[in-house]
Amino acid sequence: MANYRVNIWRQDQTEKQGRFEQYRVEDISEDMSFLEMLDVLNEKLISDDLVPVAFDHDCREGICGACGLVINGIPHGKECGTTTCQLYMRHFTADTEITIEPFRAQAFPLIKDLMVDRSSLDRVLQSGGYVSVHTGAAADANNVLIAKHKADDAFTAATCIGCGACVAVCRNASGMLFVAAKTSQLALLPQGQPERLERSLSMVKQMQDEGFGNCSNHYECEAACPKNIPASYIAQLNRDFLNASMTSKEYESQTHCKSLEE
Amino acid sequence: MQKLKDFIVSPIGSKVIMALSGAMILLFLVGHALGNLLIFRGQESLNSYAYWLQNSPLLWGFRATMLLLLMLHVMLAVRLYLQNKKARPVAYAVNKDMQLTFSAKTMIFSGAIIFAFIIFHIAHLTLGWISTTSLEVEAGQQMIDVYSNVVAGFKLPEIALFYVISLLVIGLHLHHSIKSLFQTLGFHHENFHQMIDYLAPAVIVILTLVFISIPLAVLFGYLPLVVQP
Amino acid sequence: MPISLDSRIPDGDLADKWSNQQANFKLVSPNNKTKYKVIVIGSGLAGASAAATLAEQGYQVDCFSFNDSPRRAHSVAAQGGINAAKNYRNDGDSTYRLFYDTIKGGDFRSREANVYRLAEVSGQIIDHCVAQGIPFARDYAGYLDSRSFGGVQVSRTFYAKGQTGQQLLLGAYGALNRQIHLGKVRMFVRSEMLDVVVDKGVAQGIIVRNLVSGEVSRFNAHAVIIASGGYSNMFYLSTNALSSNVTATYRAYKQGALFANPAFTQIHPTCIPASGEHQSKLTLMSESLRNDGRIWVPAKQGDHRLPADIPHNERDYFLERRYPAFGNLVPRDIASRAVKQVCDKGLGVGPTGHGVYLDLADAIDSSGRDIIEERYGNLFEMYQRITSENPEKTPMRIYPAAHYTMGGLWVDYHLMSNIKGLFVIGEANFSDHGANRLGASALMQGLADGYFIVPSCVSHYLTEQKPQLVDTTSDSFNEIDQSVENRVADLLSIKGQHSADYFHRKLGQLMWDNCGMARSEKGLRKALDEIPKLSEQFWQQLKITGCGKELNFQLEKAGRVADFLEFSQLVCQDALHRSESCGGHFRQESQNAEGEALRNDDDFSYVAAWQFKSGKSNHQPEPATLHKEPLRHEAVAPDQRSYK
Repeated sequence: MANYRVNIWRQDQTEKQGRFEQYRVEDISEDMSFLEMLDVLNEKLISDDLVPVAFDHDCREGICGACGLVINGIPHGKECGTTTCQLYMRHFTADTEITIEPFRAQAFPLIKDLMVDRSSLDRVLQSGGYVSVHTGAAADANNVLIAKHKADDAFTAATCIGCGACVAVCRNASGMLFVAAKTSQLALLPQGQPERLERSLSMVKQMQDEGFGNCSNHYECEAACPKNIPASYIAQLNRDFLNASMTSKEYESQTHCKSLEE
Repeated sequence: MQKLKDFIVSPIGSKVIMALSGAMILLFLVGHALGNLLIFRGQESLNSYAYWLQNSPLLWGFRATMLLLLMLHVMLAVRLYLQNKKARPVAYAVNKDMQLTFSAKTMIFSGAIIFAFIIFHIAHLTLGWISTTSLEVEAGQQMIDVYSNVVAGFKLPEIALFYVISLLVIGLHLHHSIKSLFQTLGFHHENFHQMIDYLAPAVIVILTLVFISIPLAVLFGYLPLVVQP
Repeated sequence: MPISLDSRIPDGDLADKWSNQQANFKLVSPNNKTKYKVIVIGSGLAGASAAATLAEQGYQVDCFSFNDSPRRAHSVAAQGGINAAKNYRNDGDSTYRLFYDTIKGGDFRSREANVYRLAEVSGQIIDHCVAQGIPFARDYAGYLDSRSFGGVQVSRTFYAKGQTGQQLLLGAYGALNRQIHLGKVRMFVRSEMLDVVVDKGVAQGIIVRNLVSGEVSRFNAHAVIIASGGYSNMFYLSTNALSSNVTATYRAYKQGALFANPAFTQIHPTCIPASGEHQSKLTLMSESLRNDGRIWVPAKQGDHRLPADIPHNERDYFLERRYPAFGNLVPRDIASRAVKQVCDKGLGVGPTGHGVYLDLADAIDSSGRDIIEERYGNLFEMYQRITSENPEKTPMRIYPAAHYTMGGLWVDYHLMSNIKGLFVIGEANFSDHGANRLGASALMQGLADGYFIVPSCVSHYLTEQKPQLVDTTSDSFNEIDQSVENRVADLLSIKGQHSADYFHRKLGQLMWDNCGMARSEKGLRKALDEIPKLSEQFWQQLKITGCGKELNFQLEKAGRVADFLEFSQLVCQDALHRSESCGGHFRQESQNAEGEALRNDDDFSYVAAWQFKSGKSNHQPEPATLHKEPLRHEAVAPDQRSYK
């Protein structure tokens, strides 16, 4: 059983001023998860008639992507390939100080305390992160064969849980790893080919409009990614984007029509 | 045109232009370094090389291209830097880097130092504002004595030191640039990115050593100032 | 309202029923579809696929999720796979065999017509998901790979490593995103449905609380689809996400929808045991591990040697011993019960004694470490992260945990509840799994309902509806909105001394002890006696700090716990009335000499559909009224389920 001093960012609402507050948590077992430690703190705050700390969490098995705290300067803490909910207190030395901050990014407005609004990620995917197949239109699943290594590679990209740690850790708050994971998954599969180039254009455009920063090839994103998605997918996205910018016909066809009208 | 504009201001397009302009400047640097080595063959060699360059019909086209590339590189860098600052309006209280290199972290600063250095360098040796010795090449035609200018300049320890430091900063800047270049242009494959990981530092070390060798050689007296007869 | 339990099963042979039904469905013409509005509650596999498909067809859809993104829905956590009767392996699979396995696995307590339809559309689901770009596992020739699951002797489970649910959900979420982008679906996140508006037996809309602003608002529609998942969280500790709850379905029940077979809950045999009091949830280890893993305990009590030091002949591989035909791959209910029995005998392992070994050492020896890592690598990492033990070196310790609920709102063949226009799909309905669900069938059912079944049923229903919507300022909306607001105010005004979590833990313990893996009349009566007392305490001693017009997760939680407190009494009532053992419902009074479950088809071959009866207090209903829908077994004659 260990005790810790935790510094937590408290902020009532988006518009209000925030501040750090320090709390003491006691009798924390090493088998507790980080969020269970916060549960203990919250129970104590409630019993002291205080408002508990708000943070996003749901599945607590590392797959839903809801949780995400910056713990001592690193999103999801320093354990490799781990979400906040799967981080255990055995990794923290007793009687130390733990600083917990929300994800910071222009594209992630703060809602309350440690909770941020990541709907910008949803909007990026809405702009093209899918195959536009109509329900009922598909042919038999084994009609199109996919090499095992390609399917595996696409799967690795597809394991993104949309937590936003890549954005949170990036000095530029860039969403490139997030976008690249989705475009690469579909670029690696035959089903994703017809819309491949337009997809990379529209998703990058949406990312830009949401106020994410640009990629400086620092690769902090792959180090912070709880699913260990490698930054090589960003190169894949760069390639597709370049290709699309050079070969996509969208603008030409529009101007062509206009000139006919004239 | 609209499409080109969209491309240039897009997050990836800006980076691609940065990478391509940087790559061309890097190629120029390689050429520049090789040319510089002529100094070790003596005054005659360097000066005749300089004479050949200055009388090349491509000189002004080349200079304009380099200037354009440099301006593009710098302007986009500043633009990206400001955008990136804006993307994180509230800073973290605790910052911890995982695999971020010092070189990557300081690109904008090393870039600023290099930009200042380039201005000084052009003023010093191209325009000859700082100290000029000229010599007569043919009847009635004068040219700057590049060799003497270089040697005279580097005899002053403060100038030599400034060059050495600036050249090391260029090496630092290149450390992140070369690897980044391939990633931005979409080349990142396990089959060859390890090769880049080894080759890039080698290129940088050689290039930096070549550049630095000249001020050091002058400073330690290996390249004497010869008065033209 | 008189209750009609017409299941609307179409005529014809079992194999023709669904095609007959489809031929007889009435259609809305394409340009009229935009005039109809459908509400979908939940954005998991069932909800997202239904919302996307209805929008594709042209209807206006409003979709609601209490999470911050549709992608967080707990379908994301399903690990093992999805069943489909593709027979790609030529191992004797067929639509009929999938149907038969599901009926038998459900211990003959499900409707044959629904289950057959599920088996029929299963193949189409795989086709559609592959077309969406879901990276299913492939063999070296590029064909889809498949594996076996519990209760089944063919290899029909398609998978994407141990993250099949995630991949399928992201597929459905992609389809939903496409419709949101096209403006066909309005997505409301961080929005919780707090009640359904029903007038004269017809669903007219819902009341929703915005979890960020605390604002309560009204939404009307021509049809409401509930896809809000299951209620395993009434046990407090379960494999569900922390915010999974019964509120949507329970509120519909209070508005007159019948709740069917609430006592049919599934306890999953392979979960990581709880480590202490602080535990907030239990983590599942995929059933697929039982393909290669062997389950055992030391043969002698009090054998505290390290597992590796215990020789094979001093181990009891109790599943292989008791069920030689299926061995470690017996269905979940049977495996869970067997684990509980050995632990009750004092043979359990680990610090709490609540655990058995799941050992992959033999599989690593025979198949090789690489193959086993390829199959289960991510599960090993997950186990090691939680327990700090390496499952490749020392066997995993597992124990059963509440996982899935077969019970749910009663629906007919059209997936419509007894309230007109209120459809219920996925885990939220009761329809396909009987008394026990087979592994990898939940994903199949959620997507079958959402992509292929409910869209045509809703269309058919809408042909009979006028395009005019009931105004949200009507009396029916006013009344229910007011009751929602009052309830929120009531919860905030108690100002007692205990958090909602405190009561939830107590309720969970009561339910686990008395209505968990083994149930007895005595235990159930005890629970039915204790829960109302706990509920009374809750309404006197609950403490919520902060207010209602802001983000307040204590208030959200309190509302959910309040519903669990009422609902768990219904579960106990159902469990008490069903004095037979079947599937996940094991009554200690009803077992044979070997301790196997004893079903009673003469008295209990029916769906128990319960009707709400209000009590004197708002928080304490009267015992519910039972309605029976008899189950007709025409294709498969029920026999004693044997996996020996």
